Amino acid sequence: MKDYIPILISLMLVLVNAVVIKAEELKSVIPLSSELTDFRMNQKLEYYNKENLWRYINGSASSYLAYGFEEMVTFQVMNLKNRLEIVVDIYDMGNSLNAFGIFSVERVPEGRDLEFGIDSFQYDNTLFFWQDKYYVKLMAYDMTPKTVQFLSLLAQIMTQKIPEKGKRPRLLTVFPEKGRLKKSERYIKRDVLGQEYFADGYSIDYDRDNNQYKIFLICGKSPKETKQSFQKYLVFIKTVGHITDKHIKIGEQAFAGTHNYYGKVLFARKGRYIVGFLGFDNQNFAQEIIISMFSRLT
Amino acid sequence: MIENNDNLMSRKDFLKKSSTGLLAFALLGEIPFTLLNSKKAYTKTSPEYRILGRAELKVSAVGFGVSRTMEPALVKSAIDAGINFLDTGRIYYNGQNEVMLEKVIAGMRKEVIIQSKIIVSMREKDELNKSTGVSKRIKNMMYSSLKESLKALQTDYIDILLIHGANTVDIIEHEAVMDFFRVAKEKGQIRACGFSSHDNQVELLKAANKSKFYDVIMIPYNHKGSYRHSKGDHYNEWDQQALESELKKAERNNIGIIAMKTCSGGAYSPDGKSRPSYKAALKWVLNHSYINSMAVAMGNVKEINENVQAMF
Repeated sequence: MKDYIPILISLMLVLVNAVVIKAEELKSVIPLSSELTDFRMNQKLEYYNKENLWRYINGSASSYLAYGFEEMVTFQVMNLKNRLEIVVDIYDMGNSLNAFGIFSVERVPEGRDLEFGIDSFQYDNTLFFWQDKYYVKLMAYDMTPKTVQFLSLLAQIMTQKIPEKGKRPRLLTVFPEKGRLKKSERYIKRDVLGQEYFADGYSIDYDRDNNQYKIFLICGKSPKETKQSFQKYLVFIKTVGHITDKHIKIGEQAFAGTHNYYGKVLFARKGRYIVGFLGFDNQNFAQEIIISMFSRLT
Repeated sequence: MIENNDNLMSRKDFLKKSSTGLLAFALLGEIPFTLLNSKKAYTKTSPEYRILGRAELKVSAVGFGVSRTMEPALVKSAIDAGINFLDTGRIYYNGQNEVMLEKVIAGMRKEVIIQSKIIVSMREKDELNKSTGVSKRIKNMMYSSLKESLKALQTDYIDILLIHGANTVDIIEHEAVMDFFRVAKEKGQIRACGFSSHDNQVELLKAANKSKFYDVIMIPYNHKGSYRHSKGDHYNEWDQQALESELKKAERNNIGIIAMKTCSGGAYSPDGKSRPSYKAALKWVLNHSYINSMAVAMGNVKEINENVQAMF
């Protein structure tokens, strides 16, 4: 036992150090009072981690945790009359894919597009953006012209403080461009299409020539696992619709069918990827799209 | 109040939906043949519905906590399995959870019971003791949230509107909050009002039993008298005896009770010998007549299939 004590102490120091580093990383994104005019920072920073995030955002915590949430900090900005004006939440989502993911499912299509971070928008009294592994919300209590201006200034300062830019997920480029509904791109970390065996999925909505459809791209861990989950989904489709053709020559396996919610569907797999085309009105068109997507997947 | 006969939808629709659900179970190898063939294993072949207190809404004994999913096809699977009670909230996915739900219930609004939740936050700690200007701000905030929910759900009424995560009596007894609910009901924008609470539920239930103002209350309740969140390691335990005493009073006061965290107490074995299961854990909750339904958060078809068995 005595021999292990130094190792245990070292491990504890590493853990404590990691926590401190994380908190310091978050803190480095926060503007300094000296960078603000007409407003001042409330010096009290509140940190929340995986264990207590629910205390701050209630039942929403579950979805943040599912998207790899690590830690967050929230702080308040007061006006010079000491009245609370803005609340800022900075979420460390672990990596930029997770940050994009949570941003994408919380994005409000009617929101006003802005140009902060990688993606951003304003809806009602809140400004949202993501950059690198951070997902940031700035909420104003009253949207006066001065507050709106200040929200933008805060966002700008913060994006400059985040060292890495980050990028939108590479796999979104595999999807066709034509007919793509802006702001509909999503990354779904688990239970894609409501199936526990599908994880790491992307979806985009389309509207082309008055036909609305959805395309999914699901990434398995391996070709073997993908084959198994594809088969499970084929069996599932029979419970919510039926298979119309399971001899389609796309990729390594493909089937067409009907789904009681999505209408006509076409799914194909190749390697560790599955592509699903949901709600098509022309099967040949759907097949061409999937073939072209597979050609872009390495 | 418990009822087993379903009058909520037409007989034809019900047979279509429940047979689809049963077929789903059969093909997936879940309940299936035991449900269809054995009189021992199951006494019911149709889902159980209960009356939600004085709100008099007929709700499925197993409800769907929609917060864990943004997949409309999954919600449809739950409805097809006989679930008609759908719990969402303004806070889930920044309001987009309600938007997703609308896509599923469009064209069948009257066949489902929608429960949504709004956050009531006090701007400063001493705001609870202030008046007029504060009351106006709180009512405006709540009305704004309700408006957004109605818009997202594309409906002119929400069946049950709750204060989301009320943890102090001050909030549920705030005059502005109660006033808001009175007006929303008078306008027909909500049919029932209430609150959800993740802890301090005994004290809150006591207060609700005293005021008799709220129609529905959603609280953690399970066989263990505690829960540890599956993610995040949050732990909460309560005085089960004190809680059940208040729950019985709530039943006498005709207050509808929705249980949550029903699976978070872990799997349950009724006789201590048989293999513990989540289905048994849910059945334990439903064995109490003061529980009208449960908001069970489910993220995939497998979980729906497992949990819905508790109401057959």
